[in-house]
Amino acid sequence: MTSSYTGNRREIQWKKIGSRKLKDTIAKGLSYVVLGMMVVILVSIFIYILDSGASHITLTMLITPGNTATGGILNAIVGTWELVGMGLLFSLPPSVLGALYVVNGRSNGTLSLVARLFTDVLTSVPSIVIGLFAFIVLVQRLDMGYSLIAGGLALAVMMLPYLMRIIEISFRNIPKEQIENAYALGADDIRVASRIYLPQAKVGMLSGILLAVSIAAGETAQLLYSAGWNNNYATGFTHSGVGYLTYVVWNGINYPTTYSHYLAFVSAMILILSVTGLIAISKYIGRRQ
Amino acid sequence: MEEKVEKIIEIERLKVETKNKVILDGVDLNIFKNCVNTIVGPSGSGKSTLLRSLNRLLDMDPSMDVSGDVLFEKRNIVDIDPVELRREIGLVFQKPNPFPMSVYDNVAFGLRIQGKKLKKDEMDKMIHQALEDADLIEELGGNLKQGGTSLSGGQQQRLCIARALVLRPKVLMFDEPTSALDPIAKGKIVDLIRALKQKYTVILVTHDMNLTRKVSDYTNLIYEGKFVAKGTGSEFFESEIEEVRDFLTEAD
Ligand SMILES: Nc1ncnc2c1ncn2[C@@H]1O[C@H](COP(=O)(O)OP(=O)(O)O)[C@@H](O)[C@H]1O
Ligand SMILES: [Mg+2]
Repeated sequence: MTSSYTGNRREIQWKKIGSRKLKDTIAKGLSYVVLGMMVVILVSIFIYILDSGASHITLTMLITPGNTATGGILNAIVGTWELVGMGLLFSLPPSVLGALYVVNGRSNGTLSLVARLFTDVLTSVPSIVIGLFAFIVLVQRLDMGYSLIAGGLALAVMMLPYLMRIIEISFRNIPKEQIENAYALGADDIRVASRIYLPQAKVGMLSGILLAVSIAAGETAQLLYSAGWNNNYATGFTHSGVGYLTYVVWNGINYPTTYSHYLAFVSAMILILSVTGLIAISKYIGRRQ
Repeated sequence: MEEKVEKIIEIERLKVETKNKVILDGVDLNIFKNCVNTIVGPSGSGKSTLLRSLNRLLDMDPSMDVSGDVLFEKRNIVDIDPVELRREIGLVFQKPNPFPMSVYDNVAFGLRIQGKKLKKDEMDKMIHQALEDADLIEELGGNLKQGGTSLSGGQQQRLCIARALVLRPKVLMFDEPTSALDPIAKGKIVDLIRALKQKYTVILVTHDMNLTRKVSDYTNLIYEGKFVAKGTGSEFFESEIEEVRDFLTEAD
């Protein structure tokens, strides 16, 4: 393939599809306009929240627990990470196993297909439905009460499909020959998983975890029915509600005092900063790989 | 010749098929101990599939239906634990593909996964020996910490050979080991294969008739999943069999 040949071909194409090229340009231009509008809207929300949060933040808010109307939000900050951590604990092992199964499974593909379908369905279940389900099964049936476990499980259901998908992709990026080579050297499934898949997919998995965590941190609907709320710190894994930032945002705004609004804005600011921070880190790590 | 030399692998009526295609169509073949057993044949004739069936790597692919018998030292391979079998019958792939870890860790891989606790100096010794047998130790200048993937193509291929050798297999299979290498790197592999047959049984799959001429003790031609010439030495090149003549013309 010489450069002169490529040049000729380009010229021919240019003449042939001139009008298509024009349409292309218009479509591209339009999508840039829409993208620009979205960026403007997003950035203004961002600035508004940061501005309202930053101008009302106090140290007391950050170091004392509270009830969304008085006191601080430390219970909600701590509770958010406890819930997310619990969600990760429940969702990461099955995601890794599921991804290993889908990528490396010896089944004839039907089971992998079922797994894929299952995770796709999970992604599209509205979070309020997951919450309601958690309420009926965990909070009531299994008598856990509003709790870390119930909230963590409700978050895990939502985190699982994202995690599994991203982990699956990072597993698929490992050259197939390497997997075969490991087997040819006498590795069994467990060794191949622990010595090839996991170490090599580390970075991809980490960026998936950060993404799933950031998504979970911003969730409210399923937590309302599962974690409930707590004006103080959770005292156990069950039968003790948990505070979380999205609740403060939701409840604080509804409460008719200026201070509760401030709490809501500060909580929203903390959430936005953590989530964008996590996403940025996950993108950075992902790109560096 | 056949009577004097011991058979280490006996393949009988080996058939490998997928839903739509017969890949190996009732293969009967003997592999002779401490010899270079060469398998040549056009692309797509089933050479790689044959190697994969010998160490039961094909078991991993549920779409492959395998029947017939393969005896390894008189034992049917289906009665041997595949992990065990794969340590006895090593496979070096066409494309060199070290793991993304140090040279040392690459070679240590097969030892470490055995779960046996080896003393550090014992492990060091085995790894040095394997790298020496693979004719790599000198070029590395003693630096085994460097990444396996940073070596040249030919060195990577020899690293993969060392990785298989460290397990002290009885049989070493090479799937077109020189096809991705430059002439100098090729030459080194030729010397290596010659040296290896003192200690190991070699099964060599190749397209390279020069390589075959130089190292092969028994040359077998596979054609569309069937062997059309078997167990011949240098007379392979004078064969009157039509497929052999066609293949030789194509290959040169
Ligand atoms: N995993 C597989 N699934 C289906 N067909 C396969 C698979 N692997 C190989 N084949 C087919 O089997 C035939 C032989 O392949 P292969 O053993 O790789 O040939 P060779 O190594 O001689 O080039 C080819 O037609 C190939 O398409
Ligand atoms: Mg092949």
